[in-house]
Amino acid sequence: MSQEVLKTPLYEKHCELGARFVPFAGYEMPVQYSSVIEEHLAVRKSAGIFDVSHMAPMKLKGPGVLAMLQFLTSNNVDVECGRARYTLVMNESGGVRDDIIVYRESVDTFFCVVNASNAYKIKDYFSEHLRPGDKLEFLRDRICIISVQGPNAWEIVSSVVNNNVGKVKRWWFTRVSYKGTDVMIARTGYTGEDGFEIFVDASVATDLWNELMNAGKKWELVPCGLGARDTLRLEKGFPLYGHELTEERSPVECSLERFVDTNKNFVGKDIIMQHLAEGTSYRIRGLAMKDRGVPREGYTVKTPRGDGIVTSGGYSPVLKKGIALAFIPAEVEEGSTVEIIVRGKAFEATVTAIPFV
Amino acid sequence: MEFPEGLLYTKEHEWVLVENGEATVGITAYAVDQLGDIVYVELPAVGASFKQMETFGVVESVKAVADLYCPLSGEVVEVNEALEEHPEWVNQDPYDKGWMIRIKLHNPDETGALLSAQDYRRYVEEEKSG
Repeated sequence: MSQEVLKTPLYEKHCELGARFVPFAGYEMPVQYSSVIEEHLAVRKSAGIFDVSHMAPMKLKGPGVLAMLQFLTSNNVDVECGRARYTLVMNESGGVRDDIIVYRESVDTFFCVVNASNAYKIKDYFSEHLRPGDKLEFLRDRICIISVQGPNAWEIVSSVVNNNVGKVKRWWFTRVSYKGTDVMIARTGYTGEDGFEIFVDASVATDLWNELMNAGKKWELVPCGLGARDTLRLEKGFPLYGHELTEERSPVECSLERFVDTNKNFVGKDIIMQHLAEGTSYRIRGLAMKDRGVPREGYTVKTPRGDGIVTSGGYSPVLKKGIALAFIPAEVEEGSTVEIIVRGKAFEATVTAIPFV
Repeated sequence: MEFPEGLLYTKEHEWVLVENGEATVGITAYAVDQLGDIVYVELPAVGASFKQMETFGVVESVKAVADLYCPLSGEVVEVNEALEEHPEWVNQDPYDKGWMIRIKLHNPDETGALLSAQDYRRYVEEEKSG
């Protein structure tokens, strides 16, 4: 099957900035501009700007939408209007179809952002479950998502949109007007730092990007690619769909039970209740290398309780060592030593609490 | 991108400086550019011997792992131990501070299989456009 490579409306901008691209979920996306480590550290110290327009926003509206989302996902999304919540779209066997953020716009309107790789799967799944009178609008082709992340993100964003977004609390969002368009600004992100995800009409996205870059000069704002996005989320132990989260692994096995609300009914709940009550034999845990070497996805982990596997691995620019998320026997205690097999050689790693930093 | 004259190159993107029966080996500016930030260089012990184009070590960047190929057969007489603490030197200065191993050559005639700076540049251009 041949497919056309998609580009975000900011593609030309990335070329101008010297980005190197990788194909990701059908899109040609910047993986780095200067250096993954430099970009990573800029976000931790001051601020970075990302184009994450490959993510798929969709708007669900109607009297039955709340009940539908409550049933199809694990977390309670019956929140105040203006609030955002991370939740897992479940399957019948207790696995995860996708992890998404749900933004409640009004009593009956919810804005959902799903992973690029699951865009059509979730769109179709939600569409099948819509009740008469409810509507789903797929907005990826019309909306650009610009993410500004880091301790100085609010200074930069508030100076451009002329609105005190600093007052918008973490996991809340607001709407502002920009060049006659409606822009949604959410204090959410995937870096573990303070920051904003800005949902802007594709027609003015480049203008907004340019203004943010200009305003960011004084804060040493750096454009960042998917490389830094991945190392930033890994240091915080955030799961990534297709790596930690899969259709075969439950939220309990992913150590994400805090995003499961057992006070409501939802798809796959019986299995989750069983996992919560009895525990699971394997779990996603953090590993930090004692030796040099970089753990990579798919490497075997040897523990006294049995073998496991690295689900995401890489180098932590802050800790200056290899770190990994791995699916290993749940009984292995924090602080104990395991071995990661790197090209046939055993390297020692410590089972570590997440986040790593 | 700089590919100094006087060095010889492999299609696996190592460079080699041959002098008095010994050779110094590292990776090229193109290899470094492709790999991105290098965070770990695994080098052999002094005394180890390698055949031409045998793997002598591994370089890990944030993004990728790559094998290192020995451009010429020989015995390792020195390794750049400073790279253990400063793997970033390979990024910053691949032809000087970022050198990796020095070998005593077993068979100096093997250099015929290597590329000149000009040929290597052409090869890289083809690989880029390919």
